[in-house]
Amino acid sequence: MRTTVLIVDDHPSFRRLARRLFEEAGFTVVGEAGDGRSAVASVLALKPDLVLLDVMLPDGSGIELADRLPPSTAVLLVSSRSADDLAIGSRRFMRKDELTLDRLRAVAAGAGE
Amino acid sequence: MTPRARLAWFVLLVAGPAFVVFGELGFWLNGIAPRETFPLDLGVSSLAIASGLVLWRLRPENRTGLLLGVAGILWTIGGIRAYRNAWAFGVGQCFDGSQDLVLAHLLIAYPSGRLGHRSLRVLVTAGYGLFVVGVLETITMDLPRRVNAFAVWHAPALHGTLSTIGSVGAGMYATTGIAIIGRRWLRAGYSRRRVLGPVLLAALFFALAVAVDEVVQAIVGSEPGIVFFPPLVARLLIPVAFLFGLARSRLDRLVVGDLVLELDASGAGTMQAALARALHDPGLQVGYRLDDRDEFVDSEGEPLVLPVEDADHAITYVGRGDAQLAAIVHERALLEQPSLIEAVSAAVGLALDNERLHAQLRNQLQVLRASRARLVRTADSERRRLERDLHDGAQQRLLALGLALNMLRARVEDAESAQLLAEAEEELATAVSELRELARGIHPAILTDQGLAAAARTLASRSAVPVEVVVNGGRFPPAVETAGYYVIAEALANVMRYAHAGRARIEIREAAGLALIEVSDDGVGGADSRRGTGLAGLADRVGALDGRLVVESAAGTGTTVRAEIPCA
Repeated sequence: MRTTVLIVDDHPSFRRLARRLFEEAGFTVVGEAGDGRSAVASVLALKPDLVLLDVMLPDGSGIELADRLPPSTAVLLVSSRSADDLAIGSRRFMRKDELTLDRLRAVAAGAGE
Repeated sequence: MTPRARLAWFVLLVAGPAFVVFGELGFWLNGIAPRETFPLDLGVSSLAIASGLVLWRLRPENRTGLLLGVAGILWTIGGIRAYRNAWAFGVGQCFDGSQDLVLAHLLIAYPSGRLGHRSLRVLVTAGYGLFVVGVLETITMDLPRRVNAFAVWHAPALHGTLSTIGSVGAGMYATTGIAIIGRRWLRAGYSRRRVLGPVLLAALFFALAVAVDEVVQAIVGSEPGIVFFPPLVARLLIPVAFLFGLARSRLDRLVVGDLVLELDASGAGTMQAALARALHDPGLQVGYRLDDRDEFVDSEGEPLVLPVEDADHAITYVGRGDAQLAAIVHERALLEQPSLIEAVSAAVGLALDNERLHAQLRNQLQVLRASRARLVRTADSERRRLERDLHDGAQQRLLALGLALNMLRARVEDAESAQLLAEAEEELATAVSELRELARGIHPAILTDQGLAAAARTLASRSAVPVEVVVNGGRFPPAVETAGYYVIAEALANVMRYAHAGRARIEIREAAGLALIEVSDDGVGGADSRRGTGLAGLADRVGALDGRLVVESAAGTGTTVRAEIPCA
């Protein structure tokens, strides 16, 4: 069974390309959200396995939002800035320029096992 | 004093003593009033006339002196009824008590001597109506015309009614006077109370005494030989109070000399307090006029909007020649002592000009400081905007391009093309990384998002020297956090470059309204903030926020860089 993903980012071009990247890597993208409020609604409605969550959202911090989501939902925080600049703590984080097909395929393979 | 007023004054000067001698001696010698009241009778009339002459001479524009003198004369006229002459009796009887009406007039009109409000004019006019009642009483007396030449209408019943009307009217007049005096006292400020105090106290005593006297007379009637002393004493106190007020005003002017000495000794910034003391007006304010501008500032150089003159406050402008130097906002009551204000203004002229120059300098300094702070804030704001634009614009487009290249490379089967695409991805990754560093250098996003403490921890984590971060307190205003961040970044950079330190420490805390940001190390010390532009530039940035940068760096004892920035 393929891992389901919700993509949350306020840049439409990034959401479009990320959707294709994840789908090519073997994930099923179940939805997209452009801000924190619609992200919460989508998580509750779609119950994705993974949320790709931008740290800087127009209506607040992605880090704070990640802490409010149900524990059953895995969250991968992403940003164009480095972790040093964001006080990520122990949360799972990846820079946006580190999102590659190879890495995602490895993640998908790990999740499927 | 106009020639006409001067002539009237001389008439009073000559006629006054004559009236005193003629009226009072006759009053006493012929035994109408008890002899024990003679000294008081004589004292009241003499003192009233003498005080009136003095006050009129010194303040000819004020009617108080004239009214006081007239009251003294009227007091003596009452005494001529003692001369065993029917006409003298009639005249004396008509004027008996009329001096109280004039005293009431001058007390209600005090301190300006003018009634001003229409209701007061109506009240005083009605009060003088009691004189007409007194004349009618004299006409209707049950006495033969050989005793009272004015007794042309023998009507004892009407006389009794008029007598009651006179007593009740006088009582009501006195009661209204008490109410007016009380209200005036309650509404007066410190300075006005000081002017009004002695006279209003005497007036209150006088009004109470007359009211009680009238009530007593209405109840028990006036009997020969029985004298109610309080009204007499009260009448005596009124001119005394006026003279006391005058003497106090003169003494106040003597203090002007002390004021000049005090200002010489105490230096700049003390003018307002000194003037407030000299003019007995604790709420007094001094506004200094800026050169070539119709604007005023206080002694600290803060802009001062002069209040609109109203019933309580007035403004006296002080100048030298045509140049307006300052404005003194004071209680309106002080205008009743124009000579005091003039004396004070003239005495402090030079000191006032000095103080004005100081205030102007402080104002310029404040304008400069505000301008510098504005420049720093604008620059910070522009840096934040630039960083945000880079993040939302170029960075996102390059990241999207990177994702597209990555997916394209996975689809290309030709090895050479795949290699080219891999190189392109690598170049792009370098560009993204450089752009990220550029954006961070322009403005660290973590500072805006997470605050100075988080930003300091990030800086510490990147340092090659172990750095301990101690934070005590919450977030500071954005400008303070930005300045603090650059202080920490520059200080840590210096630790790594020059200090040869084994460890460093960042401490951020708030104390007494100050944000204290300190970076210390255990290195070689010997840093000089005057050398190079790093620390000097930071000192400028901290100074723009009214803060200061302290560098302690004796050789061999490490270096401590501390920024103290107001954050309240």
